[in-house]
Amino acid sequence: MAAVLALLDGDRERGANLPQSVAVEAAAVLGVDGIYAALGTGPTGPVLAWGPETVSAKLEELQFTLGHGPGIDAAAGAPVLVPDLAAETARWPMFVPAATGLGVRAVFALPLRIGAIGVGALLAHRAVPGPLVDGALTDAFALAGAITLLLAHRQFTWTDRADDAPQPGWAPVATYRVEVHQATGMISAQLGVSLAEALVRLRAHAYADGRPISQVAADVVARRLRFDDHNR
Amino acid sequence: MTREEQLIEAFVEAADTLVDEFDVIEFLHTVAGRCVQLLDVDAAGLMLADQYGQLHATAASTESARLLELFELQADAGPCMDAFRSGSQVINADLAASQERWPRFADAAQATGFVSVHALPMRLRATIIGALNLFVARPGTLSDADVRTGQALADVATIGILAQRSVQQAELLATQLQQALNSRITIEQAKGVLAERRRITVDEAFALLRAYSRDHNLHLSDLARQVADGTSTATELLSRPPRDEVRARQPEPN
Repeated sequence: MAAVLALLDGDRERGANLPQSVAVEAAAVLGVDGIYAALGTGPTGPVLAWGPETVSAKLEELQFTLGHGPGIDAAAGAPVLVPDLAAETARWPMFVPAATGLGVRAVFALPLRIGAIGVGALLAHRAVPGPLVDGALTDAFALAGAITLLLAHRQFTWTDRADDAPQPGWAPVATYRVEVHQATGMISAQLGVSLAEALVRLRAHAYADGRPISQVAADVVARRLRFDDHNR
Repeated sequence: MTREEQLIEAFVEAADTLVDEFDVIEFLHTVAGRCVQLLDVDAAGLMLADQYGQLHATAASTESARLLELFELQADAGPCMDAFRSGSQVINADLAASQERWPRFADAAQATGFVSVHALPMRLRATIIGALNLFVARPGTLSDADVRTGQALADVATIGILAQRSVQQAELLATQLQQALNSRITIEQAKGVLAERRRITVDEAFALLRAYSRDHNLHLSDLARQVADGTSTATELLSRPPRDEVRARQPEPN
């Protein structure tokens, strides 16, 4: 999985989007047939954002149409691990038969979240029922963490920045210091925007200043820097 | 309360986690508080590892920025990292003599006024999920009885995390840890929102959040999520004191 994460990282530096080929490699590492990420947790439900093969696209479309399914549940906050889909008919009465019809027998869906920021869900599926292989869940969480930031960045990039290139200072959520999350909350209250947008503004500010995000965040928490001053 | 009564209460609280629904972060804060009450230590905190093997402060006896900083410094090197990696206790580590072992951590801990430090692994069978960190501001060593009690409290915290739902598969452990760590991030975000809206420090914001969740019988993590994403209807928690009204520009949370 380290190799897959490195691919994501290298790709970011070239300024491209999530390459579909990485999804294929990640699926192989996790021992599943397919993997995809879906964006959005709102009333319209998640939208397929990353994932190459047909079954993934159909699974996502299915959940979008039905308004229920493991991906939608995971996007709401908690991981949903379903080693045997057939046992969950009561939970998703329309999704289970339709997914089984696509040849899917096991589904593992992880939330893509940074605290209270919901980005979407990562969903892995397999034609053979049974739990994930040893260590695969930890790998999947690592992948989810990396994708969360990449997708969060793409989703909330605003138009006055011409280049959509991901910014320096990108790091897995795990390496964010607590000030980054505190500052995100403060900026959200200062500007009256969502946490997701507040995080993007914080990162953009760090990028513009050429400083690490944790340094800018520390300034916000110490009240040396406000975001509503220079945005009006 | 006698020490014995306190000890019994600590384990009754832990047993409750096996029976009732509870908030894992709130429970870990209670354990950290119990450590300071029961052991000859001045501050305590629990660090949990994420899927990268990186440790994160998850709960502390005092949520002061200075103490949280001491946990964060251990991401690279520190007693918690040692206890987590080795699965063994780090006991009576003299900070003045630990400059080489943990250069940044030893300096910062001494600057905060601590003399010695201990770290006890949080372990379930072969899996180590984090460490309990104890800080002492006075010279002296931790007694064997305190070490045993401390380790029991670390074990209780571990069981509490795992008992959050019924755990039958190893993979659920990773899931529970992930949830706990994400709840912690949510709390940091909520501290920021509250600090800004009420014009207080993030430390004060945490104290308010925790007091409000207790007074209103809410799960700390649920309240934090609502405050963070703007869906909280707790107006008396969120409103600014009247004297700030002139400056106020009430943000519309979305």
